Amino acid sequence: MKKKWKRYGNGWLLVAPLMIGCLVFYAVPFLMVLWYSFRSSAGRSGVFVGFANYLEMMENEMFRLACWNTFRFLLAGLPLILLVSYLIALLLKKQAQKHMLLKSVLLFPYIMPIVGTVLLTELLFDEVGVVNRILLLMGVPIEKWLESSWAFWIVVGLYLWKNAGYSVVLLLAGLMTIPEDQYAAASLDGAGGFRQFLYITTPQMWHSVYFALLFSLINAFKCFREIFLIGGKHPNTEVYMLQHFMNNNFENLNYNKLSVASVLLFLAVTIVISASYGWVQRKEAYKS
Amino acid sequence: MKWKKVVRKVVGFGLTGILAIGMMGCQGGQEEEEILTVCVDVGTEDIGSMIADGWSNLDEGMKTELVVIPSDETVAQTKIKELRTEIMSGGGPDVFLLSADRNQRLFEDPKKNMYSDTFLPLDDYMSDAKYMKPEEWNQAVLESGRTEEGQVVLPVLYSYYAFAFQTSCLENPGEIPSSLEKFLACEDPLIGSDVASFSHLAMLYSFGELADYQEEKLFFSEEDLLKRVEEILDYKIKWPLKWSLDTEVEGVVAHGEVDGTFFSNVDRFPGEEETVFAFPNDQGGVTARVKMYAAINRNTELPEQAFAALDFLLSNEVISGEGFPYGEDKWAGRGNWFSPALGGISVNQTLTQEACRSQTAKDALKKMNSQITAVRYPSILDQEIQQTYLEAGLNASGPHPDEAARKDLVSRAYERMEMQLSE
Repeated sequence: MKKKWKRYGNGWLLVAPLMIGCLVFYAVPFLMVLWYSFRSSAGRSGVFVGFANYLEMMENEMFRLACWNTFRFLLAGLPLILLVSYLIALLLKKQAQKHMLLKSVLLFPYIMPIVGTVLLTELLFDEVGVVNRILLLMGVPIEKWLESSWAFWIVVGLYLWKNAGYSVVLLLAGLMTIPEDQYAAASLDGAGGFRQFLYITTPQMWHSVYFALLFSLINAFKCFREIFLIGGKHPNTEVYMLQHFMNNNFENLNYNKLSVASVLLFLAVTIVISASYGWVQRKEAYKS
Repeated sequence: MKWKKVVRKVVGFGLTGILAIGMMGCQGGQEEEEILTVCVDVGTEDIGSMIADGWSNLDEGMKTELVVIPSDETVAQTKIKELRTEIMSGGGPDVFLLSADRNQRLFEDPKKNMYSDTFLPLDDYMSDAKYMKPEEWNQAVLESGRTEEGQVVLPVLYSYYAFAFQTSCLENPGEIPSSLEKFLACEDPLIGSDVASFSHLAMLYSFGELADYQEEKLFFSEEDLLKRVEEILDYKIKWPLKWSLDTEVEGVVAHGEVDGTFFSNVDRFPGEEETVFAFPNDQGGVTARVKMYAAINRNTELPEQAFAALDFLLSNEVISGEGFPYGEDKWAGRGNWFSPALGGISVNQTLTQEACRSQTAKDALKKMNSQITAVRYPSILDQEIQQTYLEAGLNASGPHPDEAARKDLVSRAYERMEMQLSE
């Protein structure tokens, strides 16, 4: 024990402020939210009600709609963003070394202020926006893009446009760590592009893909800001997300629903990340 | 290399120490004097100050502090978020005294908040009330603040949409329409033009209760809403806009939402025969809307004191302006606190009637109050209805707006109302 403290003690001391901060400002509040989710209210008059709030939440129409839309958005957005980012990263692999500025340019949509993104979306897809004007010129009936079922795909497109560059940079970093000798050796052995991708690139990219997935998941939830600014507190039902539900319950001072939704969201995200991490670890173990 | 280890230890301990010192600031300090906090907005700030200055001097009074939601939109939003966070984390002000129809509201839908354990039930306290006389209040309006738990909100001021005409100027004074349907079919030019001038109010007051908050259902369908919008729009087009709130028109004694000014105008012509009536809702009665309400935070640690403050505020002495004497020639709560500028009339209908000078005004008030069948608290649902009507009627002075566009507007608004209810 004394040896371990001697070896690791300084490290623990140095991270102690951060760890204490995380505990106090994240872990403890979350535990409080968890506790409140089992009570009738957060105040002094609250009583323990067990899983009653959770059962009530499962029957809540808007919660089910929000969960379904969020799940649908992640199901559509995450594979697409990984696929698009991976393709771009593979195409850029050779150029990135020569043109260092390229990586910075990819991040421009990501760093664009939200207000700018929203204005651009409205400029394009508003009832009197560019898209409708083009359709009018072509004699095609116009559509209320942001107030119809198209809103979902516009939001997915917005998410891809804004965040693909970030994933490209992450995946590109991973690709750059793979030694060129391996590709050269594979070429000598007669392996084509696809087989090199399958047997050289893919096994060494699992960690990078995992991190790209993780950040894409985080960025997917951040999309709520744009949806909120475009559609308001109650947007079209196609883009009504979990954050809308939680935000509106905060405004209605309905802490029960807010805490239950937060806990369920935390559980869902933890399961997804753990499953992905487990998968990557398995792949890494198999590789070694 | 040894010095590096020492430096690392010192830095580690130092950083931990700084964090610990920072955390100490979050702890409660020494025991503080008990202070009752009252949350007010710009509309109720004067009344809040009266409680803070007057009531605190009485025997049952205590030191009172005001938490004011400012009028500036951006600052108000920040303050409201701060208050909501405090309330949800088990704290917040002890008493709420708020205007119901401001744009920036702490409680977006007070009726919904009545069912979400936000307010303290007051039945036990009201049965022991020292000053307030709920038996003199408008019972329909008082009931609007009641849930299964008991009385949770106390309406302070309310209003409804009414008119007063010189009887001689009406075509058929004996046939005042008693239902919404008859009202919209009425051919009297004076009534028609007057209602058309305030069609946005007609739209709002034509509905009774909007929703069952426990069942989370609206009481009307999308088709009902569309039909109502078109009816009121047609009415507005049929009777072209002739005047606004500020214009004096022959035959019109008073019009609009009832408040002190309304009945002062009715009292202006004591010798003239006047016909006074309220705009009917679609249930054959009258819809009232609460303009100001008071409630106690369920989290309060001073429930008796909080109720004592409301007991003082809603006493006959304060509502009438008489006040409570204390000390030598000093009065707590003396003055005209519920002025017409606040909008609405006091929930104490006995005192409101006594304040009317003419018998016409007294009788009209009594009759219209007895016709109240629905009492609403301004909410997002009201805003949606009014906004839909305004957007649908943008071109109403000319040709009808596009039918498909109106249908679309109503559909979207109805969807938002359903979402709001179901959350």
